[in-house]
Formats: sequence, C-alpha cells, structure tokens
Amino acid sequence: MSPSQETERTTGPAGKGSEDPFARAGLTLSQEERARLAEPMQHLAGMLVRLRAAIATEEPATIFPPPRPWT
Amino acid sequence: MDLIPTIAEAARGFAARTLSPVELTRASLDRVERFNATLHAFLVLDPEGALMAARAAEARWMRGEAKGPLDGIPIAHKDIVDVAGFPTTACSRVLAGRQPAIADAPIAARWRGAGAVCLGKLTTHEFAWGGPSFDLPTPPARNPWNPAHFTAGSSSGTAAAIASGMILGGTGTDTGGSIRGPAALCGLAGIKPSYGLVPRSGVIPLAWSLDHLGPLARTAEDCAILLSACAGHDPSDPASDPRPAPDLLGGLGEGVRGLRIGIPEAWHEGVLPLTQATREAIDRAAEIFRDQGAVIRAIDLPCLQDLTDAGMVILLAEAFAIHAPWLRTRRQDYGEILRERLALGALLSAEDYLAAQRRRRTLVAAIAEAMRDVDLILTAAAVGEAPPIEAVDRWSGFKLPSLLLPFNLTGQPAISVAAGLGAGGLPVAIQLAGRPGEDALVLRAAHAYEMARGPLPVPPLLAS
Repeated sequence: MSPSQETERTTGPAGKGSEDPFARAGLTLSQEERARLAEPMQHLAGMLVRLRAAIATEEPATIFPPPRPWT
Repeated sequence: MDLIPTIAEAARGFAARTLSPVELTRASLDRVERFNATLHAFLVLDPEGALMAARAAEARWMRGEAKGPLDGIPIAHKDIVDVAGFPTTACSRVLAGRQPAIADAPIAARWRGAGAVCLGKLTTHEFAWGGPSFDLPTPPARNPWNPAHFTAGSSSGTAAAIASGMILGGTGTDTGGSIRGPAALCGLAGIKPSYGLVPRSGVIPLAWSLDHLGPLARTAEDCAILLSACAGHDPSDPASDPRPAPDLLGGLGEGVRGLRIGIPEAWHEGVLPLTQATREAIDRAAEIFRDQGAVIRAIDLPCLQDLTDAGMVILLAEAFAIHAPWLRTRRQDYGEILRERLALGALLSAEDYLAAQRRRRTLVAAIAEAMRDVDLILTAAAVGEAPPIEAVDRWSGFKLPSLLLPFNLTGQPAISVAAGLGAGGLPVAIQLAGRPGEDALVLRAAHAYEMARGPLPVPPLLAS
C-alpha cells in the first residue's frame, strides 16, 4: 500500500449528507491531495466571490434567450 | 529534402511536378524517425497507410485530377480526434485498451476526402487539460526549439510535430487556448475558429460550451487551406453552425488597408507583464499594419481577470460533469494533474455555474460593443517564450488571467501568429481576434502580417 493510500480518508458516503464537498461528489481524496488543493481552492474561491459580486446587479438574467422561429 | 515547405508551397510544387507527395511523405516519416524519441510528438505512426495515400495523391496530381491544395499533404490528428482504425486514448489510462474508432470524425473525414495524407495520432495533454504530465502512459511532447522547454498545451504533439517538420499541419482543440498556446510557443500559426464553424463530433469533449476544433500549421495561409477543408455544418454536432462556411481563401491576399485594429493595452499590463520581446512584437505588428493602411487604436475591453473567472468556472464545471462518472470509479487511472484539477469541480454548485454563464453573456455583450469601433483585436498570444517544462506551474490557469480564454468565452475567431524569437531563442507570438463569423478577416490580417514579417529561422534541431 502506498503512503498516499494509507492516508486516504472518506469523510462520508457519497451523496449522503456529508459536509465534505469531495465526498458528497463521490470522490475520496487523500490528505496529501487535500493539501495540494488548498492553494488552488483559494484561487477558485476568489473567482467565485468576484463572479457573484459582478452579477449581483444583473437582473433580469438571461439564461434562455427567446427562441428563433423554428424553420 | 532539408527544406520544409508550407502546405501552399508544397501544393505549388506538386502542380509544377518539382515535388511529389510520396517524396514529401517519406521526408516527413524520416523526420519522425529522427526526432520523435526526443520530442514525443507522435503516439501512433502509420507509415504504410501514409505512403499508400501519398501514392494515390501523386497519381491524381500526375493525371491532373488533384483534389486541391491538401492533396498529398502530410498531416496528423490530436489523439482526442477519432481516426478510423486507431484507438482514441486522450493519452489517458482511463481509455487504455479502447477499440479502434470505426469512423473518422468529420474533420478527419473531410481532410482525408481532400487528399491529405494522415501519418497517425499525436500526443495531447490528458483529455486536453492535464499537462505537462509525467505519469501518463506516454511522456509529454517537447518543444522543437529547445526540448527542455514546454510546448504549451493541450495540442502539444501537433505543435511539436509541425515545428519539427514531421507534418505540415494537424488538428488541435481549443477550450481555453489549446490551439493558440502551442502555436505561440512553437513558432507556428494556429486558429481557433468561430464557435460552431468546425463540427466537433467524434472528438472527446472537455467543456461543451467552450470547445473549438481547428488547425495548426506553419502559416496563416496554411491554416486557411486546412480550415477551408474542414469548415461547415454537420448535423452530428448540435452546435455546428448551419450557415454556409465562409470563403476563407478568396480574399486572403487583400491586405488590411482600411481596417481598424484595436489594442487592449490594459490586458498587457498589471498581473500579466509581457516580456520585452513580446511587447516589441506587439509594437512591430501595429507598425506593420499601420504601414499597410490599417488604423491602430486603443480599445477598452472587460478586464482579463473577469473574463478568466467566468471562463474557468464554466470550463471546470463542464469538465467535471463530463468526467464525474470516471472520477468516481477510476480516479487513480488519471494522471495526478488532471485528477486534481477535475476534483476542484466538486466544489462548484449550480449557483456558481449559472453565475458564470450569466456573467459570460454580459462580458460577450461588452466585447461586442467595443468591437463596434474596430474590426480586429491585436494582443499578445503569450506573455513570452516557453518556460522549461519542469518549471511549469500546474495551477497557473487558476492563478493568472489568460490572454486566450476570453475568445473561447465569446466564440470569436482568434489566431496566434509567430512574431520572431525572444531573448532565449524561442518564439514569441501575437494574437488577432475578429467578430464571430469573420474568420476570413482574421486569416487575411494574419497573412498580411506574416508577409511583412518575413520568414522565421528554423528550430536549431532542424539546422543541425
């Protein structure tokens, strides 16, 4: 068994109310992987903060534009 | 044959009978033999099939029945594109042992139908996003200008193969810059066409709403030849544009007189400072266009970080959706880089994805408004030369804004064009982007630039 396998942990069964988003998505991450993901997770969090702030005043939202005539 | 022709030059040579498809294919295969152990560009080589196709092309040229400028031209395909008879593996253990594709993807079928000689399949970053990885079944491609340096990705094998003369053109895919980045770092031209211009069926997706398929080659003219032969509607891709494909070759030589070209200076400052050579390349390109009668002006575009935020969240969410079933059951079969990148997708919610798509619409509208006053946008295609492959930061896409991803978000055509060499002796590059559907204008301006720029030196590998 590799060192990374030895440190693997499952914080909750997939899709069963776990508070760990990785486990909720069905992924089992080792402590090493979690440590390596810490910095990019911060960058991703920053992206999401900026995105949410940018769309805060954008109403009405356009998710589905009016359909063109079906020809 | 030491001189590597462009596709256009080779076609003229075939027509004049000063060059033969068989001779050109043999020279290409010889370069694969000489350089592939260093560059790792080819995954699978089909010399017998290539020579058979070359002989057939040669017979057509001799009979005066050539199919066009691609007839007899050595090409190859990135290994996420289906080519009949070859397994499509995406350079991943996840797809190891896959059965050979039973049919060509439309791009492969169209190039084959135009007479192109397919030499085989080319290295890619794993599933077009995970690289440079050293823990995949095959090693990453290396830069022919200096094999210790990065090719960029993900169309890494395509760029390495063209820059080393193994082929004259090949397929790339571009979800966040994977055609234009390798073209920039390897001294080539690579166009990400308008979204929907080239059908993507038969190609493994990375992010459905950002994925584009297109060619890399040595010049913009060659890109125009390759793109002409694969553009156009195919009902097997629901995002394929149903309108007739534009004429990409007819006006290629018409120059830039009267065109308005905008430079978003803010994109080149702040967190993405350009190297001096790249800064000078932008200035020189502006001078060339101005001398040819274009009007150069500054433009304001949405800031790169805003565009990158929306693009990365969409890319990550869609890639996670595509890979989630395999991630749950075969996670250890991925290379470490892609395995960990994709895992970040688990952190995104429906709210996040919708926020990014809503933001996308606003940013696209802002760029469309800015382009009311200009016909083309001129930017750097990379901040500088290729870094050493061992020094590539696997998380740079999350840390730094991208010069390339904005045009995946907008679906605009954008081309990377070589602009000379930097202080380290490796290529630097510019990028030109047009309005959606105006691929011909982008190619025309890139061609005009290349004509004025003059020929580039060849990689030292080829000179030795």
